[in-house]
Amino acid sequence: MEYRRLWRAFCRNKGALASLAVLSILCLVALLAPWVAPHDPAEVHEGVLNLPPAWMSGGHSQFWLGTDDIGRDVLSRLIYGARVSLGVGAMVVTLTLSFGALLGLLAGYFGGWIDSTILRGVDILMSLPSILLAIVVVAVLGPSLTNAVIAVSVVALPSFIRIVRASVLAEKAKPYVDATVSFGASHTRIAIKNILPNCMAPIIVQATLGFSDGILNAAALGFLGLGAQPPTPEWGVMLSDARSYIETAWWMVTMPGLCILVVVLCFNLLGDGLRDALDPKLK
Amino acid sequence: MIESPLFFGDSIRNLVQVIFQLILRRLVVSIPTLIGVSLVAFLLIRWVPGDPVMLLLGERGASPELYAEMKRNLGLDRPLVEQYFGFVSQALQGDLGISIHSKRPVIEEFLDRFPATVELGLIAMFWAVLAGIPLGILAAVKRNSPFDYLVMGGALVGYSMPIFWWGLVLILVFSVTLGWTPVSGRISVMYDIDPRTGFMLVDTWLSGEGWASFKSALAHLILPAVVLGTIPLAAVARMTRSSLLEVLREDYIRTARAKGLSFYGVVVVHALRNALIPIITVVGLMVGAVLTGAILTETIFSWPGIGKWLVNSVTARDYPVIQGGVLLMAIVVIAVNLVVDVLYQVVNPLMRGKS
Repeated sequence: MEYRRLWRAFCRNKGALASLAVLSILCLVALLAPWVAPHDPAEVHEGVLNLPPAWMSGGHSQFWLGTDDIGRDVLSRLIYGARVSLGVGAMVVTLTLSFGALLGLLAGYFGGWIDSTILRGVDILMSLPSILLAIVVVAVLGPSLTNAVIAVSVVALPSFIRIVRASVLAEKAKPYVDATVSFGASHTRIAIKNILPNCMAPIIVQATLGFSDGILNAAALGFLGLGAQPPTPEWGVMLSDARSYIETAWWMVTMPGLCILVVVLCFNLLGDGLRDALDPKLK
Repeated sequence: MIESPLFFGDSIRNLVQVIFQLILRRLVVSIPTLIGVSLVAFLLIRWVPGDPVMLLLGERGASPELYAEMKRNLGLDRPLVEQYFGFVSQALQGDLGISIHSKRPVIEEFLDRFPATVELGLIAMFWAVLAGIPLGILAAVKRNSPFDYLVMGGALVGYSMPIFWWGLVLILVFSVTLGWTPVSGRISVMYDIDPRTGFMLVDTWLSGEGWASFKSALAHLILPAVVLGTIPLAAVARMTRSSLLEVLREDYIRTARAKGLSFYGVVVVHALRNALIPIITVVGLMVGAVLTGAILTETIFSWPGIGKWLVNSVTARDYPVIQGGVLLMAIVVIAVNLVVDVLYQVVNPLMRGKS
């Protein structure tokens, strides 16, 4: 019953619904990449370097979005890139969700020195601009896709902790918590079984927005040469490769960025829609 | 009594006192954060897997003397606690070590580049506010019109924009295709400008090279500033629209209209003043976004600022620069947040003494 009401509230938001559809299709394409992609993303096609998209003069119907500087099919690389980016988003959200929820719950539920220690850590992380913090983490761990995921998760952590902590504090003040305490329930039980489920709305919204931030930041790291490394078909890496060909091959520059923009935009719209549906007060 | 959000009806002395207290309190609160950041910056070099000295000397092959010198230079030959206190006491005296790459003091390198980033950031914020507020006002006034949808749709896209791509697209359109703006740098190589203030727009005025050099500096600045200002612009436009819509519902707006004031007069004189508070908050929040964006924007446009410097030093594994740069960036962020807080208190008397 509750879910049906939520779904109806969510459906009223056309933008969010459309985003959900677009993202579902993208996820499907990413999952089915080996069957959907017309070529192998790493396959070098001899004699078709810098081929423009199929609809332009000089284009070839085999390569819909053209080829890159060493003759790889741009469309296939974009499709495999969706795998990388959506996968990165999912891993970042999983990591921040687990650590953020744990730390936020600890800080909000127990308060005292635990709270102030965690908050100090959050302050420190927040005193560095997000990309710089990610760069610092990469500087320590070395540039790779895995390390980029860790770096981007560290960046996303502070806002997550804050949101979980704030909603835990709000829940903790409610009478049902006192009632549960008087039944003799343990702290762990109250925190996990009673309080956490009631904080789900802001957590879900933040997780959705975390997807867009994670994908954007990981792509930025890839672009700076500090994330995924070539020849991985990652959108940020593709953009950085394309920079030298900006004067001759516009499709190499426009397509990967367009993909990033669409995915980030959809996750933002989806997050907004979920927020409106889950918690009308936050509007 | 409803207080007006700007100065009126408030003694200046009271305001100065409140602001002074606020600054003091915030400085005290930021001490633990600074200690934490310094610890992070300090441990950075030591966290790197493997021997950082060998890492740095690796390509050239290290003689024992060179190795010892490098180790001493990085301060790695002493116990950890001693190293940390040495680092902090030197940092307090403005000594953040020597760049491995350029052999120059880190603080000097920072100060050379900092004005370039500030100039870019200021112009970007200026553009975001200058365009964002009028767009937000018009969208609010023409609510649910095609114009409103266009502005809000644009703001939504702008807010999600991967700005490293946006920069490339603008270069593609304006520099490559139309040939209107230069692709990179701060000024044409034709001019040799003496960096008196570090702000190219000011320095070109002072240099005697005249109008042409100023125009060149401006042409180099426009695209990066537009790119960097995109996300703040979207945020400001959205916030202006929503807070203005809220204010326009208030009774006093109807009263002002009933007195016979023109609609736009009421919007600009009465409504906007009250709508300004959330707008200032957003501008303050966007400063962080601008610093983040600067790192990407500077890389795309080869803008010789802090962002490009730090990215290059990570790629080159210039650890003293990373260490010092991180600390200095954190200080900048903390200082900027303090200024935003103070501004906020000046504009909004209801907030005074509450933060």
